[in-house]
Amino acid sequence: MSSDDRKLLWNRTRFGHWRIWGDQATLFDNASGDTHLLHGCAVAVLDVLTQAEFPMGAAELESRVAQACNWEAGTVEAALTALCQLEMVCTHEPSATCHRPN
Amino acid sequence: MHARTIGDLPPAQLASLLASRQGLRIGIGPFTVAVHATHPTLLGAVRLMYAHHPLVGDDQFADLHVGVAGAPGLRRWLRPQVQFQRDNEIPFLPLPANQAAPLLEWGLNYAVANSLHSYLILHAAVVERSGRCLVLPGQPGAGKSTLCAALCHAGWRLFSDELCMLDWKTGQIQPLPRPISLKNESVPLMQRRLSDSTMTEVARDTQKGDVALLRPPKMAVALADVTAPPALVVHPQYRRGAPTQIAPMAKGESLMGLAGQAFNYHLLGSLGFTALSGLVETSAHYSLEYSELDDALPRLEQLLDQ
Repeated sequence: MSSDDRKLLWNRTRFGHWRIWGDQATLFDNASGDTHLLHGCAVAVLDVLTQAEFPMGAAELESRVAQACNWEAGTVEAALTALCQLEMVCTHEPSATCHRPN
Repeated sequence: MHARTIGDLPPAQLASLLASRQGLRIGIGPFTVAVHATHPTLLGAVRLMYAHHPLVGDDQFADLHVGVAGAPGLRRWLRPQVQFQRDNEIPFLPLPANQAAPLLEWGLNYAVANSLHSYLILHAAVVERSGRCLVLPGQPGAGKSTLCAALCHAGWRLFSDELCMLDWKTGQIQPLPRPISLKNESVPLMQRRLSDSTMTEVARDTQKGDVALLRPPKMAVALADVTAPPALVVHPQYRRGAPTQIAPMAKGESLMGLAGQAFNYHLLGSLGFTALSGLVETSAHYSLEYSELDDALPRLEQLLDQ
């Protein structure tokens, strides 16, 4: 289990349009106009985060995704890191809605 | 009353309308295209290819104004050239005069893709059967026009061999039946296969190789106002000598392929994504590799019927 205590949320401002089809998802980037294709674990992260009503702790997110899809914790963590780097997932802070995680 | 068609016009009147300031107004489904042309090589091709299309009065609004005229300069005395014009824009370099008819079609594709933004416009052939559309997206050379020509002479209705016009408000596909552009090996193949159909002379050595236009079936032109929903998306690839192979395709991958073939996707932004997602959601998706039409066509019929 990760000791990460960040609160995470899906960046709906930029990636507010998506479709999930099985183990694939497509999403539209409002900022660039690009369309992205997600596979596997990243889709599960998208699914869990976009259904969450509140920002979710990273550890809880990783646990839920790992349970839902039988992914290993390391795989979930790697997917989450990639999604954060792509600014699809961002860290919740009361004073700022979204920023690139450190 | 029988609507007057382009084919009903005596050649002299056709030439006069093409040369007039208002242009020859051709009805293509809900659209009116004003065609301006004075080059003699184009008169016969327009009369032949648009014979079934309705003539629209010059008091009607024209959605598109396009023209093909002789290029100016000394070259016109040695090697005559023609150039395409949309409104006041000349988007392409001049081409040899024998390519006037294909140039008009290429130019019309350009004009549609850059003007009619109430549709998400994909580079794809579309045919319809039993009220459901088969969408065949693909790069030039993928074999979509060949498949399209064969299908629409085997009981399917032609929507377009080049442009899938997806109405992003309704999710319906709008027909745009115009001449089918056959290229290279497809030309003699279709000359043999569709011996009773009407084609232009072959324009040799164009930027796309040898090109001939195939007249759209009368029924397709008559039903150009009748839209239909998408049901099947098949990404074709012609490969000489290859056996017919059809494989299911994941919806996500199909959407990415379709987005890559869209002309105005970036312009429409999230509306385009939502429209494309709707098309993908409601359709089945396959990839097709083929070389033999007689093998591929029945397989496509089976897929639509599933």
